[in-house]
Amino acid sequence: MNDKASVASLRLYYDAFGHLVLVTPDGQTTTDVVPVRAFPFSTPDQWISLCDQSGREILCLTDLDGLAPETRTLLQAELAQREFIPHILRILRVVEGGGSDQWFVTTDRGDDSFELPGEDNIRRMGDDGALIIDAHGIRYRIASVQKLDALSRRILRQYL
Amino acid sequence: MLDRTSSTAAKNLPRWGQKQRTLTEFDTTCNQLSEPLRGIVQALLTPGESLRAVFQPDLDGRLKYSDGLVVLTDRRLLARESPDAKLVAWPLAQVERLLARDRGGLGTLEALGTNTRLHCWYHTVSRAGAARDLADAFQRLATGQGPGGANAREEVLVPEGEKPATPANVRSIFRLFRFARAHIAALVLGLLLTLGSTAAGLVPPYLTWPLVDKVLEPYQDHVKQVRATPGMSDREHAARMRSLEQEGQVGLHRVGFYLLAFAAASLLAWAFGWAQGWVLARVSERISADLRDTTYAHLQKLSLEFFGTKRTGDLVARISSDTDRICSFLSDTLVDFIADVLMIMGTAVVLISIDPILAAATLCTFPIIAWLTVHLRDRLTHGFLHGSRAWAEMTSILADTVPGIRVVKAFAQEKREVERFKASNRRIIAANDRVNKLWTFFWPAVALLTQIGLLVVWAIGAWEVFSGRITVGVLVAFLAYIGRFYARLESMSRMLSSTQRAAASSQRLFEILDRPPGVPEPVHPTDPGKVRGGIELRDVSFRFGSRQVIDGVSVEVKPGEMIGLVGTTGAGKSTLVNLVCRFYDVSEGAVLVDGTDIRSFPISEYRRHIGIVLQDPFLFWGTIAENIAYGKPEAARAEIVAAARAARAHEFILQLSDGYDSMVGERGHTLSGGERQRISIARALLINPSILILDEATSSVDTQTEREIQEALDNLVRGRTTIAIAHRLSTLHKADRLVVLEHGRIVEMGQHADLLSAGGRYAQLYQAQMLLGQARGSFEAPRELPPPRPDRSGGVV
Repeated sequence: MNDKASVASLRLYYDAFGHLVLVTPDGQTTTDVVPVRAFPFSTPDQWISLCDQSGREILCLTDLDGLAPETRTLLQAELAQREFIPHILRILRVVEGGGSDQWFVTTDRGDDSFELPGEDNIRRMGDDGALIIDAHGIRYRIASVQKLDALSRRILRQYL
Repeated sequence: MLDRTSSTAAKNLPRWGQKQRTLTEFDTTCNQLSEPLRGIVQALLTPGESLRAVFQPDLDGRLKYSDGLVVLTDRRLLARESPDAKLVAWPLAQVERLLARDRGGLGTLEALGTNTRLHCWYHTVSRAGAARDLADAFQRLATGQGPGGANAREEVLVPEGEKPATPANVRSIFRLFRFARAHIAALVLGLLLTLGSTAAGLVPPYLTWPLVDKVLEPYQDHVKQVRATPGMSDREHAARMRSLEQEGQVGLHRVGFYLLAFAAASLLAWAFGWAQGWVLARVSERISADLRDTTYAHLQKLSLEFFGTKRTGDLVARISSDTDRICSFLSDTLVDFIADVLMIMGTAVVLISIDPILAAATLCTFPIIAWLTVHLRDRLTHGFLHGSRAWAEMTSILADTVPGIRVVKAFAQEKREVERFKASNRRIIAANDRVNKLWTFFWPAVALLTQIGLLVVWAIGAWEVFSGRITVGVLVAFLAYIGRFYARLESMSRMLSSTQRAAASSQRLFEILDRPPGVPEPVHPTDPGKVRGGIELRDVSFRFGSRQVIDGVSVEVKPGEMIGLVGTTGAGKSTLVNLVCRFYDVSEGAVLVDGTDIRSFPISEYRRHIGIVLQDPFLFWGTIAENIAYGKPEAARAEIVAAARAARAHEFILQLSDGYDSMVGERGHTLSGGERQRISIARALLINPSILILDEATSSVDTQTEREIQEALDNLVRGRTTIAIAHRLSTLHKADRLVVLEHGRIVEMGQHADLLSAGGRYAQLYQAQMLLGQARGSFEAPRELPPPRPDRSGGVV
């Protein structure tokens, strides 16, 4: 799937509607493609799948190295634009309520508060990271628990 | 059943593997009998008559227990119902055949003449093996086969499984030491620290003796003397007072010394106590983890049958709360107990050395306490065992209803489940109340006894002081000591309950640990190497308890061939597949893969070559990628994605918010049935098995989903030996051959079209499904089944 030479000739651009258009190395053009990370947490920058609107896979890129630099930049920007996973920088406080807790946090996208339905919704990611999924299914990441401040760590320790 | 040419001695222990025995010359039949029986049997034989088989039915004609005897010789069939009954004999010419059958635990052996039943013997299923052996021996006689000869079967070296032992209760606690052994150093350190702490605690009371007798009392006496001496001159009085003052100074110094020593000893006791607590807590944590690890590892080796009979909650309780109790016993109670025994002995020695009479008074309540302890011990263990069981029942209800919550809600049975839970909680209360009554009575009783002991010591001590045998200081020291002595005694008595609790728990734990693994590992394992996938079932039989599930099945499957197993529910399809997977071992016959008996392969090596897709795919808690790579955790992402693609799972996985990194719950609740099934197909694909088992892989999904799964399955089946079970016959359209099972026996075998035109059992099943499908309008046989061959007349569709 990832023949280096052919991948280099792969093209991506935005059409007049701002939709992403994919031209595969064999010349086939697809409008409004959606890039999807197959392993968003374990290897976010490999295994990028380009799907059409119905979810059918057109092409899968095992890594982005072979892409033309501008295509790669555009793809990465598009992927970044499509995902909303705030990184929690600081946990301000947690208000415990019957069954679900209200979290007040500072993220890289600003201050926020969300509802955590249960402790199953926090899971470890790798050695030191954590992923929190709130009541609406929004994902919050903590890159490194060790790098949080003492209070945040103390709060987190009750859940992990 | 009669035409089965089977006879091994393993029939009464089918679960524990094949007994290691070859069929031998019939003259040795006699030697295998136990001594008294051999005498009896030999007395029955006429000269020149040779013994062929002996069977001892254990029930009489009215199904009451009795001790019967049936003997087969080369000339006659001899029998009597009980040792006192009259012997009956039939010449073999009269006997047409012997028919051994069993059902629901009761077996019969019938001797049939040409047009009448000569006799019928009844036996419990434990004797069924011998009954069959006798029938088989008769069959060989009738067909004129030599002894053993044609039926001597290949022996496989498989160790004879041990029967689970039921360990005596108290002994089970001693068996726990194997878990403590690994941590013996830490435990000894803990013990030493405990001893140190207690020894340091013994010093202060010892100091009270000289404090009272050598310092306080002499000074007080002097003061009294000075005050009480009449007619003393002022100068003399002043001099006396001065010397008294000096004495007081010295005395105060000595008081200071004693108090310092007192404080130092207390400090030391505290430091030791701290260290001891920490060391023991650490080691206790580790022992507990070891215990859980061992039990869980053993649990994983047990047969499916074991899990079929045990409730999940009960197993969970055994591994979680029972290990916890044992661990607290091993680390805390045990060390405390040893320390207490040593300290009590030490204190007793000190007490006796100070004053034997007082010591005797102190120890007078000891026998009563000992008697009480012995008396209550067994009742407590029973009580705790009862409590543990009640607890396990409660967790069982939880383990039952939490996964089944949809059923509970759908049938609006919440109230009933709450009631059920309450009822089991009440049983816990009742069980614990009984135990609590016992032990709460016990230790206050011990406390009372120690108080009485104290009273006796005071009384005798006072008398001894009055009669001048001892000083007040001795009495004070003594009282300080026995305070500790009794405290030790009391703490020992409290240990009783935790010891008995641990005994009960260890009994429950060893019930698991003593159970031999479901299928034994071979003694001399053969490496399966690269499995080509040729499977041969050679005269395979399997009985489950008293039920004959598989009965003399023989099939040969070529590498790469796909076999469809067809039959009604309970025909033995799944059991047959379980035998191929070696989840169970055959009772008779053998399963051979590439010509080698699978019992000679190491189990996990062998199973590595088997891929299995079940009706209800189980997804573990973890990511989708982890679930696909379950059989090969080291698989690269490319392999995972390739497997998912082949299983038609890739695209729906991409649609999930976290792709392959999405978490799926205990039962994969967020995924649909078809999606889960495709993940489980990907899981089977990834290990690239040479043998593939599809156990109703598509029966839990709708036709649309089935079609998707079918595509995935077609990818999976390609080039592998496949055994597929399906209710929906349309699923088996790719099968090279169909095997129709009924009551554990093969009734038909062949290709779809051939079977259909033969008009046998398969044709009936097929017609029934067709009618049902047409009625529902959802049967898609025309599309999915190959068109009937033009040269056949099977134009059914």
